[in-house]
Formats: sequence, structure tokens, C-alpha cells
Amino acid sequence: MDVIDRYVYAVVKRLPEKSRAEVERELRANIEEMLPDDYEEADVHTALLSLGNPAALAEQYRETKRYLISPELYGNYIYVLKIVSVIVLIALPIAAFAEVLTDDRGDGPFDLLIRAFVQAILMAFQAAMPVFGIVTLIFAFLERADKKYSQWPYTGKPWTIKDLNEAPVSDSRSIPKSESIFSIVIGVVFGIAICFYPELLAWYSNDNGDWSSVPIFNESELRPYIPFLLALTAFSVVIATLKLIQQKWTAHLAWLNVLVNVCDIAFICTFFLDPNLVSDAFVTTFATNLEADPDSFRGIWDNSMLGLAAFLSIMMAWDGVNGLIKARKIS
Amino acid sequence: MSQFEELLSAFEVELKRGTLTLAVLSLLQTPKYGYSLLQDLVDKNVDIEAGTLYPLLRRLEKQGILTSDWDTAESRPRKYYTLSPTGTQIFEKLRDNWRNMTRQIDQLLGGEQDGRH
Repeated sequence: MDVIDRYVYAVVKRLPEKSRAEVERELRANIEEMLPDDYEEADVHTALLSLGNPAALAEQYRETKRYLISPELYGNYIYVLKIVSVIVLIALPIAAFAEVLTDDRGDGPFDLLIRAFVQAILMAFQAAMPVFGIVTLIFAFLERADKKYSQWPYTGKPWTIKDLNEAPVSDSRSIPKSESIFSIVIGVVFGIAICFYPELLAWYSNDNGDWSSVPIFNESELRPYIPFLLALTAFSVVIATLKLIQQKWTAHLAWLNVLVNVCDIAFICTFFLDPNLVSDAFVTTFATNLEADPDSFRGIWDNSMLGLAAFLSIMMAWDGVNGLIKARKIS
Repeated sequence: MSQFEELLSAFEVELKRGTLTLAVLSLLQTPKYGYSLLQDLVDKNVDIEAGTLYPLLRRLEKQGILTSDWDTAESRPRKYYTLSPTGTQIFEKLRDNWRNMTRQIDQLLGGEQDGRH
């Protein structure tokens, strides 16, 4: 194969099909012009060297810049990736440890740690990579969507001075990022644990190297709650994500927050006050370990559940009111 | 390359980018083929490389600024480029812009020099 053919091929193979023939014809004509009548190999080399790197030449011939995510969106992309990595980094060790515990092979604590560590690395590839991929895909999609919606202030209209009010400012109205990230991680980890691995939430005891566990919940009693629990978890994660994006309380956000808290309170009251939900075996184990009388302990347990439900409800109510108060400070 | 030279060349590239197009358009009021245009530019001390010029011609043609015509009568086929009617209009506007711009910049640069002396 002639060196000119190789050069031309190196250029056009990097171009879209439809422009190849024309560029090739032009390029060959131009190269020929650069050569004297009786040319030698060395003349060809000089001509080709003066045209430069074929990859760079092909890049010049391309009409449109090619990228997955443009520099304008890149900042937001990296910001979201960072937050997602933090969430993954916190959730992974928990998930890995849970996975290792369910797959108990009677190992000692040291072996368990090693296996949890290996599991975390495995999960990093199994879970983190798709998550990164999905974030990248979403941004690649935004890149191809109408720019006016994918760029701040995301309204599809030119920005106004009023939009500046919506930008995060650091004062008493601001919501710390850590708070939102924390609630996403807790929400996801416990939501998944209760819904898919209820047997993991258990009393663990070690008798002479043998691990045994007594699950907290009666699985059949738990099952009807799962759709609600999943919906609530999803709802909470959406709200936490909104908090993460806005980073400050607004009236809309505060009312959404009240709504999710009201749902939470309703759920907590039914969930914690359901007498059949917690297994008798668990209460008995608990009582035995506290050296209490199992029969009278059931009463104490039910009262504690009532107390816990009341405490959590008050916390939720306060969180809702707090959001409203902070949002009110805007106007 | 030292940091200073790198910085300088980045600014020079930026400064030159628009002027190359203007130089090319000015010479294409009469039809020329790629290599002869390159020679003309080099003769007039315009610093341009073949690898930059040829894709530029093609881009301008796609934008409707230039029209092209293959001449296959000679032993070597040649693609002749020339300004389209739109291209002529754009060239004239750009030329006026350039003159205004250089006048303004000259005033600024001249003023600076006066201040120092």
C-alpha cells in the first residue's frame, strides 16, 4: 500500500461516512499539488509531514465538535458525581457487611472483616459503576436536550434578577449538604434492609463461635407494609435530593417536607403500634438478655414502642414546623 | 516550551484565528485551488499550514461562503474555490469591521505609547 493511501485512509476513517469520498478526493489532489513532477519517496514524506498529524487533520475536517458532556454542563456533572460517590462510599461498607453477615460461614471476626472488605470492592464494581453510568447517561441526555432547560435557571426563559434569590445563600435558611446526604443514605440503606433483607434486622448472638440470629420482624406481618415503606423511602429520597439541589428552605420545599413528614408519622404510628409485627422470639431473647421476666416484658416492650412512636412523631412534626419557619424568613 | 512561550502562543493563536478567514476570503475573489492559495498566502507572509487551510476551505464551502468547481481537464484534477455572492457580502462586511477594529486598537495602542513618552 502506498504511503499516500495510508495517510488518506488515516484521515478519512475518522470522518463520517458521507463526507469521506469528497475529502479523500480533495486531499489526494492537494497532496499531488504539493509534489514536484518527478517526485521521490522523500518528497511524499515532506508533503505529508507538512499536512501534519492525520488525526489532527481529521479533527479539523469535522464540522461539529464531538463530546458527551459539554464544558457548560461539566461543572454540574462533576458536582452530582461527587455527591453520588460520597453516598456510595458510605452505603457500600454497610451493604458489604450486611451481605457477609447473611452469608455466614461460621468465620471469626477477622475473617468476617476481610470478607466484608473484599465484598465492598466487588460491590464497588457491581453497584458504583452502573450508578456512575446512569449519572453520565442522564447528563449526556441533558446535553442533547434543549440547552435553555438544562442550564441554570432551568426555566426555559432568559434569567432575571429574581432568579438570583433562588441561588443558595449561606444563612439560617440554608440546609447543610451533609444533612441531605445523611438522610438519603439512611433512607436507602434501611429501606432496602427492611424491604428485602428483613431477616438481617435481628438480635445476633455468638455461642462458642456459632453465630445465631433472632429476626425482629414477623415476615408475614411485615409484608403488607413493604409497598408503603418503599413508596415512603422513595418520597423521602426525592425530598432529600431537592434539598440537596436547592440547599435552602423555600415555601414549596417546606410544604413538601411537611407532607412527607405527615406520611411518615401516619406510617410510624401504624407500624410501631402493630402488636403482631415484632416476633415473640425477639422480645423473649431481648428480655432474657436484659435478665427480665419475658411475660411481663411484653408489656414494657409495647409501652416502649408507644414511646418510640410518640418520640419519632414529635421529631417529624418539629422537622416539618422548622422547615416552615425557615422558609417564612425569606419574605 | 517554557511557560511564558506557551502562554504567548495561546494568545497568538486566539488573535490569529479570525484573521486567517479574512485573509483567505480576500484572496478568493478570483478562483483558486488549494495549493495555489497556500502559495499566495505564504508569499504574502501569512503564517498558515496546509493542514489548517484545506479543512478551512471545506468548512467555508459548507457554510455557503465559497463555491467550488472541479477542473478535470488538466492532468492533475484541481478543485477551484471562489467567493459565493453571500461570501462576497460577508467578506465586505468583515473587511469594514476589520478596518474599524484596527483603527480602534491602533488608537488604544498608540495612546499607551504616548503616555509612556
